[in-house]
Amino acid sequence: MIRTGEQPLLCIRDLYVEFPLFRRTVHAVNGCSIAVEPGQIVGLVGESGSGKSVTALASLGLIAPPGRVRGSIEIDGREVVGRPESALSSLRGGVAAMIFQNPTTALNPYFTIGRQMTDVIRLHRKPGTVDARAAATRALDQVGLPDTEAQLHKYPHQFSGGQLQRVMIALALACEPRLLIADEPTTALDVTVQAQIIVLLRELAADTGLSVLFITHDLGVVASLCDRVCVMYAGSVMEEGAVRDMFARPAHPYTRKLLDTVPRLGTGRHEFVAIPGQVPDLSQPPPGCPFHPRCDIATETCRRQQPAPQRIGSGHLAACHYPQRALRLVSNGTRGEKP
Amino acid sequence: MSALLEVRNLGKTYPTRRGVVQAVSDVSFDVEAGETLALVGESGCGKTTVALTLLRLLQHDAGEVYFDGRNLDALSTTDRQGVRRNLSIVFQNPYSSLDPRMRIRDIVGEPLRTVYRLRGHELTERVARHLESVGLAREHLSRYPHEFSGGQRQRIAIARALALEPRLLVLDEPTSALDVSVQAQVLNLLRSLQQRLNLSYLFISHNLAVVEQMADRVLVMYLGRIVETGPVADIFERPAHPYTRALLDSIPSVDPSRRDRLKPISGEIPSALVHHPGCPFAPRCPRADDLCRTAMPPLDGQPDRRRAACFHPLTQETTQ
Repeated sequence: MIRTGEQPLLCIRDLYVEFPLFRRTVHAVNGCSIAVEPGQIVGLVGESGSGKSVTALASLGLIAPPGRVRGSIEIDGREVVGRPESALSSLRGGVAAMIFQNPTTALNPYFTIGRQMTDVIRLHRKPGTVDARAAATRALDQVGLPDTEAQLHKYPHQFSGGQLQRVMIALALACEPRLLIADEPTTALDVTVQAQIIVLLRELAADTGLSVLFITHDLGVVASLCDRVCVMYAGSVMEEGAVRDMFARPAHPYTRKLLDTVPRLGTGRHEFVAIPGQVPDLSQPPPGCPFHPRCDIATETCRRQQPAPQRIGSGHLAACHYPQRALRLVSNGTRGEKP
Repeated sequence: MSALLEVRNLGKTYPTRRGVVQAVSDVSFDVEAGETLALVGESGCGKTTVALTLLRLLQHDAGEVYFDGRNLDALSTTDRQGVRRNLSIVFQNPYSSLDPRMRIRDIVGEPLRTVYRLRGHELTERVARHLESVGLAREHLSRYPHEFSGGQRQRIAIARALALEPRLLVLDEPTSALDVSVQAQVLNLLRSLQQRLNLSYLFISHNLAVVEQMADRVLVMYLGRIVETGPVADIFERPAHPYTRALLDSIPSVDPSRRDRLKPISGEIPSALVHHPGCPFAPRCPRADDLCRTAMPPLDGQPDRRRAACFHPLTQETTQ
């Protein structure tokens, strides 16, 4: 695996995505910037409607008109925004691959797994340079499916949900991409299967230098899998940093609250911590900081002026006017678990 | 005194073209008044089948269900309908469990119309009271489901489930479709309703951290059988069955320094079509020996005590 040094494999800068509707426009992503370096696993977390999936789709040029994309997305130094469809198809599945939440709808029920995998491999590799069937078997082997030769002859309905998600990962890895974009790949799966997938992705990143942008709403998955994390809210990145730093010392009030809402094992009985209010309507985003209507420490400045990302520590940024105040606030949730 | 709900040796099979699927075998448990019993396990372990048979949305083919000491199968249809009013259910997804073409008044009022034949002002008043008890307002009566957020929809589903003033509520993954920030509001509501109305909950969930907070006792199921049961704090602290241990070890911790504790179980849930003589978990179990592969470990002991169906439990506190 060739590493390009310091240059990020995926670099999203100042991304805006809008969807014009009948009388209004939904501003799904508002100035989001994310970088994924080679070999890194970056988590993108947020509630429903925070713009995380739209960001992922935009990264591979998958926002269809009338959706509008502004800003810059570079994959391996190549610009995605404004690139013609024909040029994008070499990027998709080649350098970068994507997996989705529900593997049963992402695969074609009429074709065998082997056919679907070899089609993709033949499309992206020069004919004759590679034995597509052998490559497919190798990919299935890599994700830990037993008896790979026999699996190639099966149809999607003959697999369990967890196996099928591993087939999806194998399909994504078959052309040896350097970037994997995973949109909630474990949300529909049991915790036992989720744990298998987390360990698998960790091994792939360590062994092959694969970079991953992992979209999830589960902070436990982020803590167990990712090196870095970006917290999105109402289409903007609220905070980003190394997982260890940010989970120990969240600087944005939203991150802190989000961490408090997660029920933890072994903490004894207590009230569940909720975040009052609702995610804003993105066709009428509130002025100033998008989180201010739900924030305990919001001031007049927060209501008027959108905060720019501030540096908190090494590689740790928070888009808050008062990050120091948030850091000092005592968390009202019960942190820490019993051993 | 007998428990509010008693389930004895419940069994349910589904005939398929490729053979018979034993979805639930020999499941027995009690739910006391005001208590929460959690049912946990992976998809396909039979937890929803158990819930649906209790509500008579599915007909079981073995065992008995007693509500308040009365055998539901021995009752006449009219009597059974009377008992059945005491049981209700909240489904997982409030986006599909509410009819998009019905107003909230009609959704929550439907059981009151059909069972108590309430109409007009009386019906509206009763529905408004139920909406208020779940934190919604009178002004929501004439709205449609699409005008509400996920958390509000689940409140509507709870109001509908409570319309006939049941004594036992089945909660089938009631917050899995909601964001964590909203999940907390719904769980707090369920807890306060339980205290106020002395409700019993059968709480089905795959989120063990939520189960620990909500439930008094827990029932762990694997391939249609109970593998372990007892007080939730004891079991999560010191699981006796290797499967319970494995489930707990599969939960990703929110603490990044604990990431190495994540230990996936090897292998997959075997097909329910293939019947093995031994323990259903034996093929994936690190402690399995020849005995486990040839004989089914029994779930012995008193129904109200800690029990585990394992020949080699991790702790000796069970009454094996």
